[in-house]
Amino acid sequence: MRRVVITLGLLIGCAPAANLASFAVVVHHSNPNTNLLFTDLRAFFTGDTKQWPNGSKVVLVERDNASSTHQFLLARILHMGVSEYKRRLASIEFGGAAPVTLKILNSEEAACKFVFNVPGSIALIETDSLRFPECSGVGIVRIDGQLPGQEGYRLR
Amino acid sequence: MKASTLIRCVLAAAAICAAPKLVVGQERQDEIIIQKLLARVEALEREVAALKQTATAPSHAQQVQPAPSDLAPVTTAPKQDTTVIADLPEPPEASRYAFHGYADAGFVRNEDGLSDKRFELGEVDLFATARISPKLNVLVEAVLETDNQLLVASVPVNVERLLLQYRQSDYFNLDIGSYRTAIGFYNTTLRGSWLQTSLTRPMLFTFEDDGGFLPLHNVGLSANGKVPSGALGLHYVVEVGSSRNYAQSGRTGLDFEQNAAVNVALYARPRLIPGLQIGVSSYHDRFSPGPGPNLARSVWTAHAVYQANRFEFLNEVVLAKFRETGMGYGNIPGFYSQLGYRLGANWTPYTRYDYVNVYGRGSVGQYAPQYVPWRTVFSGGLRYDLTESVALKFELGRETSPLQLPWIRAALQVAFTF
Repeated sequence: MRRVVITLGLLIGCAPAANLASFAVVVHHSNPNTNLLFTDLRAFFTGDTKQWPNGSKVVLVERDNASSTHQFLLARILHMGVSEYKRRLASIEFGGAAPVTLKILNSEEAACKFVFNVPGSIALIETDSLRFPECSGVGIVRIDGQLPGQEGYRLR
Repeated sequence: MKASTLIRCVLAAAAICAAPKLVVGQERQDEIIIQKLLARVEALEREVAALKQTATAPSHAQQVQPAPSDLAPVTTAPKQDTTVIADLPEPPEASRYAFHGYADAGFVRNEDGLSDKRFELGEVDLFATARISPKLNVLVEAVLETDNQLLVASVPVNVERLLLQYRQSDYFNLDIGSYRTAIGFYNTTLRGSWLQTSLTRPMLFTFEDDGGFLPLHNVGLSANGKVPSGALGLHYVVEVGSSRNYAQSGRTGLDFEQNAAVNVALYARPRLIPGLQIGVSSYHDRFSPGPGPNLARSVWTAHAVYQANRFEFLNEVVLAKFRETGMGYGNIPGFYSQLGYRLGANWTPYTRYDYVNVYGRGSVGQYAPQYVPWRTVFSGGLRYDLTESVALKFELGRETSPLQLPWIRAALQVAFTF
């Protein structure tokens, strides 16, 4: 009985933490576009927008399918399934338009490293990952004017 | 002599004797410091040289973004930069050549109302792009249309598209070669079975070599791009080329003639409603469906498409007109509407209604119905994405035609990409 109570307590205690998982959008530190609308962010990742305002190419940096970051991207930002998203990007290229430049990496540190080195890149990472040294040199993007942790921040 | 005086004398003598040794020790300390400083200077010189080399040598990042101004100055990088640069990830555009294949196989029952049932190998769509310079691309799409041919040598290879693409910017791109006409939405976006949600294409957009009446493939020039329109998201397409004729010099298949095919399309993707696309197109050329007539053909289309938030809602309207002085005219209005909704992660039920009508006057009016041997198709089905690259589909359809009694067809399909 005691174990059950403890387990339930842990589950209840952990549940809000899981719900409060927060994600941050990062770009190269030379990128002046550090304040984006949520619709702009979605347009980048759906491939509707493939250039930054200065004309440079957008390079999408995404985590692998199994990561919570990618699942958040699909479920909460794009509202798409894995296959649906793949079809979406494939149909852009199939239609004859410039393909989406996409890099899939298997860790948050690698994503930060990539963003740090590649101007024009944009990545979604877990907010907790910002403490990694690799993420210290990238720019954090405001979404609808809010930074991670601020009231009303949408990516959580 | 007092004891204290004796001690002082001894200390003084010892100090005099030890003085040279202290000087020697100080020199050694100085030497060590100098050596350390020299080593430090050398280390700094090596670091400066490494930084200079990094700043001048073309990096992977520069390959991705050719504009040097876009590169961050290395000197502003934090201390761990050297490590990061040495461990630079692979650039996303290292591969300048991309290849994708789309194929399907399945089982059909009563496809043409003739009560046949058989396994069927679908088409194999081979699609490749290559970037041959920063602004020049090549796109090739070849389709092996198996069509259940008895002989391997009978399988036609259809070069669907072969394009040299010049990409100036988002606002101006020029394609030269064989392209898919920007008539409506479906023709420009969807071909391979895996790409489309449904098992079959809308009947309106049946390909020419399968009996379709719309000019879906041309050879010529296509300019396209965005129109500066802010949140409206306007795009344009202007195409000038030659379309397929069916009866020049006794031929019944592909025959590209100088038939002045012109198409203008305009569509909007409003930023405020992601997933929505609304567009119109107007196409005109000369068309010879059989020996003798050289008809003026016009095709107007309008479409409203919404693909977001699990929904796929496709709607297209077409009006095709054929006219020849002294031979009358034929009009073909039609539309289709398809609605799909994704349930969970992998299930997508869908339904579609296709409708077409044919009417006219004179010999053209009498001939036109031969090109459209159907009236309505009501179909419904289910798509299940087995994996990221494989989909299973099941579809039922009820067709009506002026030539035969209504019938119900069924089909199962596995569609995949590789």
